Amino acid sequence: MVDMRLRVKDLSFKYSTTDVLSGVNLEVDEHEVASIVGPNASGKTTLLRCINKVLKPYMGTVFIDGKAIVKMNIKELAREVSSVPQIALRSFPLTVLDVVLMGRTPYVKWQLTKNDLEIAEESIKSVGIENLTSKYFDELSGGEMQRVLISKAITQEPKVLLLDEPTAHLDVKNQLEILDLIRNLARNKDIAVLMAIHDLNLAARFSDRIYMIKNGSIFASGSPMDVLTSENIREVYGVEVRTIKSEESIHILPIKPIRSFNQT
Amino acid sequence: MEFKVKKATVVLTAILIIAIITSYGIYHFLSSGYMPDSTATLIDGAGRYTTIKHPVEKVVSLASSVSEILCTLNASEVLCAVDQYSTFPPYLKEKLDTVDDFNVGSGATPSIETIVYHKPDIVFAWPYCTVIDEIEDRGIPVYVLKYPDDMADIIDLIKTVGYIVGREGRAEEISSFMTGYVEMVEDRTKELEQKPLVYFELNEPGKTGNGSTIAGSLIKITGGANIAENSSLKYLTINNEYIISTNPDVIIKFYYGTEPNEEEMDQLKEEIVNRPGWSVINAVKNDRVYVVDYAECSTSPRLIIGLVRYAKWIHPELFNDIDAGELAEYVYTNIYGLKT
Amino acid sequence: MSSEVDVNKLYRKVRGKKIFFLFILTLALLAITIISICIGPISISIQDIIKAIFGENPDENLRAIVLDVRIPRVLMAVMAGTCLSLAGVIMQGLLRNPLASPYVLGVAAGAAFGAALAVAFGLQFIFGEYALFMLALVFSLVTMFMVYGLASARGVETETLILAGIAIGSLFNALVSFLIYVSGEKIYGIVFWLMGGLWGADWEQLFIIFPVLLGGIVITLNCSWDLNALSMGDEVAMNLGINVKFSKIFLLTLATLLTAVTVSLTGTIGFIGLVAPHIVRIMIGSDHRFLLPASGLVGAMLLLSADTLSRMIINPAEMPVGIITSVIGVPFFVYLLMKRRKRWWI
Repeated sequence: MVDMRLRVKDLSFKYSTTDVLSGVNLEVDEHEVASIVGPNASGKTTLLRCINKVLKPYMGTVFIDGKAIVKMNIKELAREVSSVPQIALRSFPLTVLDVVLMGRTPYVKWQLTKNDLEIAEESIKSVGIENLTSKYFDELSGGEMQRVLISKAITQEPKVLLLDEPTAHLDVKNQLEILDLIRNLARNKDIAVLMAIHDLNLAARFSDRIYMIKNGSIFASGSPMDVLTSENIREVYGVEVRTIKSEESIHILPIKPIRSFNQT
Repeated sequence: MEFKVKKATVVLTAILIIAIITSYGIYHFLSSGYMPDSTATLIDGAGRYTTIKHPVEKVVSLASSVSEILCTLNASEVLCAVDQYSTFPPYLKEKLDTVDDFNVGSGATPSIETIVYHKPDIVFAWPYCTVIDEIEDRGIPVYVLKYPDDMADIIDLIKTVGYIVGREGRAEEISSFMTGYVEMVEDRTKELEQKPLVYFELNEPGKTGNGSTIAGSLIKITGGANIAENSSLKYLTINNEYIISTNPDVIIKFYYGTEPNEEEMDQLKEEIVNRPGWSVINAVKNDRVYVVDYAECSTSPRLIIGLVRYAKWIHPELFNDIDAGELAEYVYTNIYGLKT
Repeated sequence: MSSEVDVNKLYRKVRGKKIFFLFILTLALLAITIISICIGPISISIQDIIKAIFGENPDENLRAIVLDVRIPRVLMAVMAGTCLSLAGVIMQGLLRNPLASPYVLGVAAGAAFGAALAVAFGLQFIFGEYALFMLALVFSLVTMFMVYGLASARGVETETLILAGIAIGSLFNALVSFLIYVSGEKIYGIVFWLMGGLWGADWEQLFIIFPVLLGGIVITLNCSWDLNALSMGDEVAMNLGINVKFSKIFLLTLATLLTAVTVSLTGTIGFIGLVAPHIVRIMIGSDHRFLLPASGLVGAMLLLSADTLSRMIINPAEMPVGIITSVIGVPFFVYLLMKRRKRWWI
C-alpha cells in the first residue's frame, strides 16, 4: 500500500494534566484539501501544532510519506511541512518580497541562488501577488497578507501545507478567493492541505475530506456530505441546523442553539 | 523679744541673697570676658544672616573640614555629632564607630532626627546639604560654608570657626602659623620667571580644576603654572591630547583613601606613568609624578603640609632646607595634639 | 493582478540598492574617521599626522598624541558603536520589540555592576583585567535572562519586557551605588576609570574589543536568516526550520557579550544601540543580512561623531559623550513615538 502524504496516528496531547487531544487519527493525500472543524477550544490549532512539531505529542506519531516526523530534524521538517499561522503579526518593516523569500530559509545559508529566486517567482505568480512585491508587508490588507503568507509557505516547497483559520477576518470575496487558491495549489502542486476552519459552509464547499473534532477526538470524518449532517452538528456544536444539498455542495443554515437543560 | 519671722521677710531675704550671688556671678563672667546668653549675628558663607548663641557650646558639623578645625582649636568637646566622613583626627573616627548618635550620616542628607535630638547651638553645613531649611525650621541655626577657592578662604574659615566657639586666640595662633608658611613660600617664588607647568588630577582620569580651586591656588602660590588655569569651568575633564601637548613638568595625582596607604599610592603613580602616550611627558620622563593625600590638600590646617609638598615638588631647588615630613610631624603633634 | 513580475531582476535591483547603501555608509564612516583623526583639541596638520603614522615625525609629543591617544580613541568609538548597535539589532529582532536595546533592557547596568564588583573586591589585582570582563559578562547575562525570564513568565509582551528591563536595570544601578557607598570614596577613582567614556581608550583595550567585535560580526551575519525568521515570531521561525530555543539563547548571549565587553571598556553609553538600528530600518528595511552591517556602520558613525564633538565643544575640557549621544538620541526617540501609529511598533 502506498503511504498517504500525511498520516496522523493515535495522536494524544496534554497540557500539563488536561487532555487536549486523544487518539486522533487522520489522513490527507496529495492534491487533497482536508478541513478540521469543531467548536472553539476543541483542539484544532493544537492538532496543527503537533503536526509541525511546535508542540510535542504525548502519544502517537505523525508520518509524512511514511516517514515519522520525530526522526526528522527541524530543518528537514521545514522542507516537508509549511504552515500559515493566523494573522496576528506585528513585524518590523519588511517588503513582501522579503517575506516570500523567507520561505527559502530551510534551504539557504547566506546567498540566494537563481533557483531560489525562480521558485519564489513561481510562488508569487501562483498566488497572484505580482503587484505587491515591493510593498511593505505590514501595510497590506488582511486578504493581501494572507496571500503573501501562503506564497511564503509555498516557497518552502512543502509536501504538506497547514493553515490555521485562513479565512478569519476576511470579507466574503476574499474568503472565496483564498480558499479557491488553496484548492488550486493542492491540485497543481501535489500538496496535501490541512486546515482548521470555523465556517462550515466554506469547509463544505472547498474540502475533499472533513474531520469533525469534539473535545479532542475525531467525532466524524469523511466527505462533507457525510460529515456535515444536522445530527452531527447538533451533537458537536449544540446547534439546531438545517442542511440543504445542492449540486456542488451542502449548505448549513443555523436555526438556534440548543439549551443544555432542554436536551433529552 | 519674740523672734518672729514673717514669711515675706524670708522670701525677700532669699531673693536678696540670690540676687547678690547672681550679680557676683555676672560680674565674674563679665570680667572674664565671657558673655552669658549673648548672641551674635553672622553672615555665613552663602551670604545669609544667622543669629547664634555666642559662643556656641554644642555643635553639629556636617563638614569634615569644620570637625577637623574644631579639633585643632582644642574644642572637640563641643562636637555633639558629625557627618560620616569626619574621620580625622582618629579619635573622631573612633567615636563615630562607637557612639550611635554621634553619626548623622552624609553631609548631603543627614539625619534630621539625630540633629534635633542634640539641640545644637549651630550646625555647620556645605551648600550641597539638602535639608538646610528643614533644620532651621526647627529653630536650629545653620551656618552654610563657602566652598574655599584659595588659602585665604581657609584661613578665614579657621578664624570664623574660632570666633563662633570662642577660641579666637587658638585660631589666631594656627592661622598665623599657616600664614607664615604661605608668606615664606610666596616670598621665595614671587620673583620667578620660569614657572614649571603642573597638571593635577582628581579622582577620575583627566579630572582637574582651574585656578580657583584649592589645588589650583596651591600651585599658584608655590610658583607653578596650572595647565587648566584659565578654564571657564571650575572642575573639568581635560582632554588627554591637551595634557600631552602642553607637556607638564610636574604631575600631582590625588589619593582619596581614608588612610594613606603606600601601596595604593604607588599603584596610582604606576597607572599614570604607564598611560599610553604619556611616556613623552616631561613629568614622566623626569620622574616628577607625585601622589598626594587628598586630606593634606583640603580645607583644614593640614593644608599647610600639602603646600610645602607642592612647593618642594614644583621647585625642589628653592625648598631644600624644608622637610615636609618634619613639618607634618610638627603639625600633627602641635596643632592636632596627636602623638606620632 | 496579472502584472508581470521578474523576481530575479527585482531582487537584484533591491539588493544592488542595499549594497550601494552599505558602500555609501562605509565611505561615510571612513570619511568621519579620517576627519576625527585630523581634528582635535590640538590642531595637527595632515602632513604631520601622516608623518606620525609612518614614524617620521621628529616631535615625539605629536607622535604620542596621534598614535597613542587620538587614533586609539577614534577606533574605540568606531568599535564600541558597532558593538552596541549589533547588540541592539539582535535584541530588537529576537524579542520582536522596537524598544529593546542593551540600555533599556538593563544589560548595560548589569555589566557595570559586575565590573564595579570586581573593583570593589580588588579582583583585577589578583586575576588581572579579565576579571572585570568576566564579572561584567556574568552579571549582564544574569540581567538579560532575568529580564527575559520575567517577561516570558508573563508572556513576552512589549510592556512587560521593557518594564522588567527598567526594573532590573535600576536594581543593578542601585547596587552599583551601594557598592560605591560601602567602599568609601576610594572606588570612585577606579569605577570611573571604567565608566569614563572613551577618555582612556588605548591599544590594549582595542585588542580586547576587536576579536569580540569580529566574532560578533561573523556570527551574526551567519545568523541573519535566523534573525529574519525569528523577527516574524517564534512559530513562524520554527516552521522555517529554525531551532528557536537554541538560536534565541545563543544570540541573546552573543548580544550580551558584545554589550558587556563594550560597557566594561567605555562605560554605559545610551541610545546608540536603540537608535542606530531604527535609522537603518527606516532606510533599507529589516532584512538582517543588510540591517546588521548597516546598523553597525551607523552606530559607529553616531558614536564617533558624538565623541569627536565631545572633544571639541568646550576645548580643552570634554563633554561626557553620553550627553551628546542623548542629545542626538532623545529627539529621535520622540520622533519614533510620534510615528508609532503608522508603522510596525504597536
